[in-house]
Amino acid sequence: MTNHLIIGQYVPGHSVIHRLDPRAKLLIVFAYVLIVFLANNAATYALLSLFAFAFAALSRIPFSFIARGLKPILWVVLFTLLLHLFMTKEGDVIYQIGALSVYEGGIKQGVFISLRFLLLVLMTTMLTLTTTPIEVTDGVESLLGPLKKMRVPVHELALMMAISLRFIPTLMEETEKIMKAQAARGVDFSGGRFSERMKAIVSLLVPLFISSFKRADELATAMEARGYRGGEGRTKFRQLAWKPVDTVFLAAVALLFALLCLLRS
Amino acid sequence: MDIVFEKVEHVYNARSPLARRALYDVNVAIRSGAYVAVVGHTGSGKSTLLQHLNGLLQPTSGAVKIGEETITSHKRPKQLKPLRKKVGVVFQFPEHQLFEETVEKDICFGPLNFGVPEDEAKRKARELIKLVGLSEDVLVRSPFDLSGGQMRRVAIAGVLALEPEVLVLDEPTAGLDPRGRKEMMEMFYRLHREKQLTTVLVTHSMEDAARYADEIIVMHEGTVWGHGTPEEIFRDADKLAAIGLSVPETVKLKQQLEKRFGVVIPSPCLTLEQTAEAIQQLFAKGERP
Repeated sequence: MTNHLIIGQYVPGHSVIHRLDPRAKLLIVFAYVLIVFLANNAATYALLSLFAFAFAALSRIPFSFIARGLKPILWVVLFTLLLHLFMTKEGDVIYQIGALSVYEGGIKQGVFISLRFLLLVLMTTMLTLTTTPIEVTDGVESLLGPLKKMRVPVHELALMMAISLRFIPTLMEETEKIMKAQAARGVDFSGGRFSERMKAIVSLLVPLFISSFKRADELATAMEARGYRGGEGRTKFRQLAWKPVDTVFLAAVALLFALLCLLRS
Repeated sequence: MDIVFEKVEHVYNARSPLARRALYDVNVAIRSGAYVAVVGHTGSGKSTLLQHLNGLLQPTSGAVKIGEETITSHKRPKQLKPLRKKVGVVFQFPEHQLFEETVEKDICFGPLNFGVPEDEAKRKARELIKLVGLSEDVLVRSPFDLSGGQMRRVAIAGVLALEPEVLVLDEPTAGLDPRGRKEMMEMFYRLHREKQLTTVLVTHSMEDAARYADEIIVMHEGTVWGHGTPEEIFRDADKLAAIGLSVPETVKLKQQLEKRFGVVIPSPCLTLEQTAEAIQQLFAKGERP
């Protein structure tokens, strides 16, 4: 399972995209996710796709790797496509099988919506593939900085995010260990009656919760022992630096936005 | 049950860029009723080897024969369940697997999974709680109210409740105090003697390996480096040191004495008692150090 899911996984590299300021990447992806919804005809979708694929190509991550990672969401995309294909009733009837009829508008709508979905996932995946979790959190903290004036606990939120990201692999490891220990006691995680399955899940979740609480407690103690007192006056090991190339990329997104407004029907 | 490894290889994440070979060309036989210690440096493949003993891992190539069963890469996971009853595994920090509301329920969990009737499982739980050195009134308590050492004993009782023919122990005393360590090792040894339980102990303690095991398997970088009686294995301290292992303190003492005083001590000096006796004999012979 872990081998297929690449959303949220970082692939080390030194491409332009890897070296972009995490704030720039966050802004680009966030803006992209918003302006995707402006597209409503072939020209605008082509433009959006071009941007996303160029972004992916610049990251130098093998496209086959990204494609493999997108596979799990293929079913959702396919389902969306079929739903729109049969549910939209606009334009001419193109094909008819019994009660089901496919309209011209349905094909258009289906392709567009699936494409939109694919582009959204592709761009957000690109963010996590090229940015370490620590960079993402630093970027989020810095971008949300102004909210501190409104007493939003930005630093604490960023810290929570960093800690949860950090512990995903640890939890995975722990899960595997406990599953093995319970399998040795005759638990069958792959089948059985409903009640047996529930019991199997309980035998996994209870130990997992207990060790997580214990670990959280230990982490808190370790942080306090090293004098952690929250964000006030805390300096950073990695300083974020905004470079001209970051501005260029943001300008590209602005250009994309302008073009979309012009070309949409 | 005899256990035979034939040309066993195990590759994690096979056929992927992350592939990592953890075991290769492992040929080893563990005879029924033996007490075998598996030693080796961290990352030498001990844990991977151990998980092949009850089918938690299947060899990528080669075969593991356990009694009548043969496990190869083709075996379907469903067919492995009966094997898990015959081979009990006590993992490192077994207390992490506790989850039931009461100690009794947790000990009964394994047997019930294998279709043992409930009253029989409960009878077993009462018997085992005493065997692992706890009193019967612990049975009704929550396992999470117990101390770390007590939790570990309960978890071990949960594995013993399966009445396995082979008991596999992965560093069962890690994190215990010296007294708890000794008590636990003595308990496993007693079980081994009384029930002719085939025991496989993975350990970092050369002292434990020397004291309890009939045979020692030394793992190094994914394959079997040496296999023999403790006396044979600990004969050459320098060779062991080269792969990051040492000999027991008592053997070190014997070798130092031999070097300093130019005597030959015939005893292998595997335990404290043997060593004391050997030194006494030196005195008796009049070769006063």
